[in-house]
Amino acid sequence: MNTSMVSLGALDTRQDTRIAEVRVYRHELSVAGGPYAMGHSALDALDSTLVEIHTEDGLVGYGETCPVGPVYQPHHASGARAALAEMIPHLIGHDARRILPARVLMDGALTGHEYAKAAIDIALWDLLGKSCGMRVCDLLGGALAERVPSYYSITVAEPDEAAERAVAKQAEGFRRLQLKVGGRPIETDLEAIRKVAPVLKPGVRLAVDANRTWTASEAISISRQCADLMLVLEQPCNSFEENATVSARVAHPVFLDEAIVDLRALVRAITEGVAQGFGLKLTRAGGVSGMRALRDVCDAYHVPHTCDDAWGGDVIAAACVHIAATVRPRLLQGAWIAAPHLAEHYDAEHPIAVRDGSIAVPTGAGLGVDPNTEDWGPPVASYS
Amino acid sequence: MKITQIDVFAVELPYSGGVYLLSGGREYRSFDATIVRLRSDDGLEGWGESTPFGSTYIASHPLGVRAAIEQLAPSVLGQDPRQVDRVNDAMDDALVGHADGKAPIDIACWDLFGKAVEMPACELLGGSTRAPLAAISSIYAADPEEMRARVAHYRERGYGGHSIKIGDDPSLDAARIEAALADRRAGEFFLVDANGAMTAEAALRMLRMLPSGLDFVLEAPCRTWRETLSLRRRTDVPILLDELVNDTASAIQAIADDAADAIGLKVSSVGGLTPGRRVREICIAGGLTVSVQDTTGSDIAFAAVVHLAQTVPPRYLRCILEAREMVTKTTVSDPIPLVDGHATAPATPGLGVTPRLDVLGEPIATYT
Repeated sequence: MNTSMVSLGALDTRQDTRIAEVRVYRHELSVAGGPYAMGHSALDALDSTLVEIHTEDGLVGYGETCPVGPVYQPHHASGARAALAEMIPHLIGHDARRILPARVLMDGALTGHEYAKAAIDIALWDLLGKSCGMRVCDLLGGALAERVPSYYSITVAEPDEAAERAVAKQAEGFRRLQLKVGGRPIETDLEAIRKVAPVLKPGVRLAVDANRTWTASEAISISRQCADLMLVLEQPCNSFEENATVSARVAHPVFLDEAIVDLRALVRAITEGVAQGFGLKLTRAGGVSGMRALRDVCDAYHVPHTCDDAWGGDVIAAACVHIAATVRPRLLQGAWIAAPHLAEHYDAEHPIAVRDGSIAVPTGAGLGVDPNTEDWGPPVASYS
Repeated sequence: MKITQIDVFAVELPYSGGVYLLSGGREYRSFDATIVRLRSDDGLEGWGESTPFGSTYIASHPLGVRAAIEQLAPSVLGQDPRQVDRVNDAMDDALVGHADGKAPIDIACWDLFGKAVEMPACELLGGSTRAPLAAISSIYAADPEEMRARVAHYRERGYGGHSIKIGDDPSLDAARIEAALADRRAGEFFLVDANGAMTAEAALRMLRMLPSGLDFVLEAPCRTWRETLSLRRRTDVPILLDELVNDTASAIQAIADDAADAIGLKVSSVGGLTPGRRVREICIAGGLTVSVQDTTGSDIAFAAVVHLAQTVPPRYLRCILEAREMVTKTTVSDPIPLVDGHATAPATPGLGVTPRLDVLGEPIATYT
């Protein structure tokens, strides 16, 4: 570890923003209105991990990580907490505003585990914003909009039901729909696509998301049978290589999501022409810092992308919205947040919610969310 | 036959040499082993181990291993341990990734399988080649002459292979390689292992500083696939990939991209003996040589290494890692002996080792 980087002069001596205490909470987020179904799993509740960082002079920052079950990608809730236990002791006493040196400390304690590092990273951006009275989006270069579009995920459903939801969600204002498919005969997937496509209003975009459950031959076959439809295929197959095979042989654009495990994979997918767009996930990227790098590479190549996470409460939602606010509207495919599937908000005064298909960028300093931590119960771990 | 109980033991394994120095300023003083006992309804028990090399070698750490086992346990209970591929399917359906947590369960299934049919695990994995397996020493990065002396020390003990750790300054690394190979004897095998710490630039500079004719294989020179391919196009030194090949897909990719001549197959990194067997088949089909290893570990991890290596035809097998050299604790009452630097799989059922409960202590978690 480069220690000189950590000890170089203070940013502002008027504040003592060294990390005094870190609390870790575990909070169950129930799925409202029935299970959330993807090609490989259906979920009734998600196990979220929240991080609360206190500085010496009393600032508090919040971070969160919430794997959408253990089989969406190689992340799981108890794994996140195990990783946090490995890293947090190394952060006590570190200046919370020095985010890159904090990252170096985390990397010195544990290799990989971006999704756990993300919770810390998000909390440090919240603290940096609060310490200088600025919003995270403005620290990230400046908000380009005060509302960002969201998109709606129609979970795996019977074809007629999927079409009904597509109608209803467009009526609510959504301009992009994602249709979850997979985990059943591809004939049913095909029928669902064929039923949803005709109900789309002009300008409404459709992403067909198999969540990596199709084989390459299934994806190619479906694409050929839908050649007349305007849609993108999102993460049709599991591995990067299978998706590359599909991408080379179909006319539809391919968006990658789960396969973009890091910045290197993003660069490779762009430069090798494997993907024409991305579903970017906040915690998989390592938090706000990682998403900023992905955003900038997509911007350089003029590649559209979303700003999401796989699940999460208002802390994750706020972070996604702040980043989305700094993406050129021409490239932004929307910020998906779990709010429409949840029955609660962490901060009743400043809920991060989808209204008319879009989300207001929070106005408060930092993330702009002040969680009521009593709802989370006592911390499961605390470090000082 | 069904798995009825899973016990998890945590055992601290002190590093035998005090402080282990790895490239990038990484230091290790002891290792935190996770040892798993599976009990089956017919009264048998099977054992497996997963011991990460600290928390910063690869994306594997002891608390993460145990968190993964907690996640996997409900799906493993009730499985028939002899149906190893089905047990792996159940684990993959319960948790994506996390091979290091699946490995001790998979290995314990092979131990149970062997005991159930009274055959050694290597015979069930395809059959023993009967060839003695040459252990490779691990020579940590140090002053060149000190490394030369350590090689000599292992040579005297019968070791036919040496793994020379590098990854700092190109000229210092070149001096280390020259010193470590200075007394090379006919038939000796040398790996030069950078553990992914070099840029392609540093590796090329180092290689150009070396005199010609030195016989070694360069292991894990760079951190990423791209850097490795870039280096490979510009050097004729054989390359062994280690951290970058950790499953069947990356082994296939290594062959497809002609990225390597050999791989280091770490049993816990690939997820145990079942995935290890698949990777072995792919490597042999592609003509890659295999060094069977583990991140580190005690006698139980070593037994799994020995059984898998015992099934690799000698033409394709380089060396096995004697991970036990790195730790001071013996976790079984009947350790597999190393005779003149060589090991052979025991002929007794399963892994053929008997864990010592007095060393393991009480389980830290039990799932029923």
